[in-house]
Amino acid sequence: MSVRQLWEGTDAAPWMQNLNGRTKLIVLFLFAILTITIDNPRSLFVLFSITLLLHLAAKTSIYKWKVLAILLLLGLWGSMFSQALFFAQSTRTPLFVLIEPNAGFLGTLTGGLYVYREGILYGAVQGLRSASMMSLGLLVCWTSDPRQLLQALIAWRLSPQIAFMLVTAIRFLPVLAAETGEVITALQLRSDSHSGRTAVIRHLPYIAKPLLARCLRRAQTLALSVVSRGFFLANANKQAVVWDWREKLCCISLSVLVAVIVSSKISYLLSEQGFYFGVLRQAYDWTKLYL
Amino acid sequence: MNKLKGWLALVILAVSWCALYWITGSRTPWNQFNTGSNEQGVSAYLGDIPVINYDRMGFTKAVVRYIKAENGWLVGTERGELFLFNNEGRVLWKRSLGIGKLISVCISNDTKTAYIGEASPEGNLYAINVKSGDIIWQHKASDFVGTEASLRSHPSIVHIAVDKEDNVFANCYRFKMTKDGTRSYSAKMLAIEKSGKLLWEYPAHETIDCWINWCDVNDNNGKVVISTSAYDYRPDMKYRDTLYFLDKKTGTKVNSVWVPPVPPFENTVVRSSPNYSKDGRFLAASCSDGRGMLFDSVGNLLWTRFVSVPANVDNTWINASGRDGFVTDYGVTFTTINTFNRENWQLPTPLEHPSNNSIFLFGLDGEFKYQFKAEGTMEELAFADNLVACAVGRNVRTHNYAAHGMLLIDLKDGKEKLFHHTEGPCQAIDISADGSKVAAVEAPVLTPQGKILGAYRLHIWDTGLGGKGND
Repeated sequence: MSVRQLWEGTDAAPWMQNLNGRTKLIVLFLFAILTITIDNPRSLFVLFSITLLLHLAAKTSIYKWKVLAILLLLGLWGSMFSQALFFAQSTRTPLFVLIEPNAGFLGTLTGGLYVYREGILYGAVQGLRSASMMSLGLLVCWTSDPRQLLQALIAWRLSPQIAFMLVTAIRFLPVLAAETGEVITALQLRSDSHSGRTAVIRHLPYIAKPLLARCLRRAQTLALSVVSRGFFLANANKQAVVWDWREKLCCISLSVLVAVIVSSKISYLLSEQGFYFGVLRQAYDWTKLYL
Repeated sequence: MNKLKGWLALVILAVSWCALYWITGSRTPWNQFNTGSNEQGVSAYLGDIPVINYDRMGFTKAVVRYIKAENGWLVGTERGELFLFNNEGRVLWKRSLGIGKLISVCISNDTKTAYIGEASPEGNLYAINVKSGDIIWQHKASDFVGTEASLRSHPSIVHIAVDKEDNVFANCYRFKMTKDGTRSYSAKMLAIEKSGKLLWEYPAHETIDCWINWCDVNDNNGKVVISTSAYDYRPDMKYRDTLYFLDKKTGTKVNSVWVPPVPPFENTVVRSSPNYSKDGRFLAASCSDGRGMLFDSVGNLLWTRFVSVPANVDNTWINASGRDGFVTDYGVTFTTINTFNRENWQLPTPLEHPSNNSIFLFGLDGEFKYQFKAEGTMEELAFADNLVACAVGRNVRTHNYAAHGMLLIDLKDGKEKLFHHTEGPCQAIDISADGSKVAAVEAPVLTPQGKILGAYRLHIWDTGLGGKGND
């Protein structure tokens, strides 16, 4: 699979590809609200697992799974390790001592380095938030034709210019990846050294200029193409795409669910500030246990 | 090799998923090694509070009461938060009552309403629906004794008692110290109906110029008793008597009793007593100077016993202040706290007073039965038939941190039934009516060595002594 193919939504299950762009964007937006609202580690874990299940259902290719795995692992374990070491809130319980406070120069400099129990959980919560959104974002990216998203944005009466620029940004991801791959290949071939010739890191400092030049050329071509086709004319994008009622129903249900969760969370937070109502006790219980 | 690397990433993702399932659940790796959880009962964290020096006089407070109607525990904290926990330590509800510290509590006879007193700029007295956590009514102590925020003179509801009709009797006071060091006191006794309507206030048109820390009410004799406990004793003070007896229906004074002080003290201070017997015939009072007294219902002294005699050692007066006084089915109980230097609370003492940190039992005729000595201050007592649960707190003389915990004593013979150690000192305690469960609040402390001991948390223990098991 080429670098460009990696970032394009071409090989997903048909049902996922055929979903309306509006459905995908609404689900993505509501999911983002949920991951911000929920603090309970187990509930966030469930949300994260749902995104992985959606990838399975969408038949994400093995190659893409591998890329997804690397990105998720870096985010998750990076967050957990950093919080485990530098967790600053109280209460914190040291599980292991990495550097004793009186262990020579390093000990004096750092004041001791510990792995904190609460930090691991806190890092897991933050990591799960970003991992869930990354996983779902990649799912939308890998299963959507940019035109789908463009039509969805225009259907919501977003200015065609802004909608086009938003979608172009997504469209440019695979293009940018492919261009980068080509530049690196060219640099590798031109390298006069045989040792470490294929190493990517060696060539990274030199890819900015050729990549920028290529992007500018492509942007100019794109601008000419858009103007010549009359893309922004009033009637150019009137082809309405039917939004299936089942998808609408799903979006409404999910919106109601998210509204209930957010209201419950707000009422619980208010109760902690003194705005407590006994009739909402069940809601407070539910929020404390699951949100 | 590259293929293997790709698959390795997938395998690590799968392992990470399993690890996250473990970490985000209750079966976390660190809990697997937490031994003795059954023996130690359950504990629940009550939030962050400032950690106070071990030797400081004013210390962290909390209130806890068993709620029979909900089979749970009502806990009020210094953070102004009120919790209802079940026996497994799960929060059934939690609410904030504002910025005040919750320092006093009393439960209605049907255990469906809790009366909570706070120390705050307003000094509110709340009636709370125990099932839902709703506020039924509230009164501000500042309306009765005033408030002066500029001098940090805030009113408090320091003690609450209820009668059989669930009328509420509450002590409210305010203490003021001006820049030149002079002290002044404003206090009042309030009686409030179950519905929240004010029945009477004592005195009706002025405030008491002394601290009133305690009160008790009895339906059989129809009286409310108040004790006074000022630091100093001045000739210009109007309310100089030790005990005031009021008619519980009208709030008019029936009698007052002045208890003469004993050297080296200048006045008699009764701070955490007196309490009536169930039938209202007797009244037990414990004085700070170390005396335990039994009165009849209108304040006639029946007998006095020194549970801790002030002693002069190396030109230093030391004593173990008396605190609690209760009349139980098994006798009259008094307690003493740490040993203190008469000159200054925080000055060292040459030795520990032999009667400090103890619980004493006397017969109704004044006959001494036994003394049980703990290693730290008995901060609060809670009774369930023949069992008495004691919150054992600090010992500022010996710094014996192993003393902290919950102590269960059999009142019949003064023998220890159970002890559960807590890392920090135990500050509040209650026991279920059948004696099967005990809950206590532990507070964090900063030792002179700079180490923090314990945390602000609730402990619930199963005593295994419920019902007939008491015998």
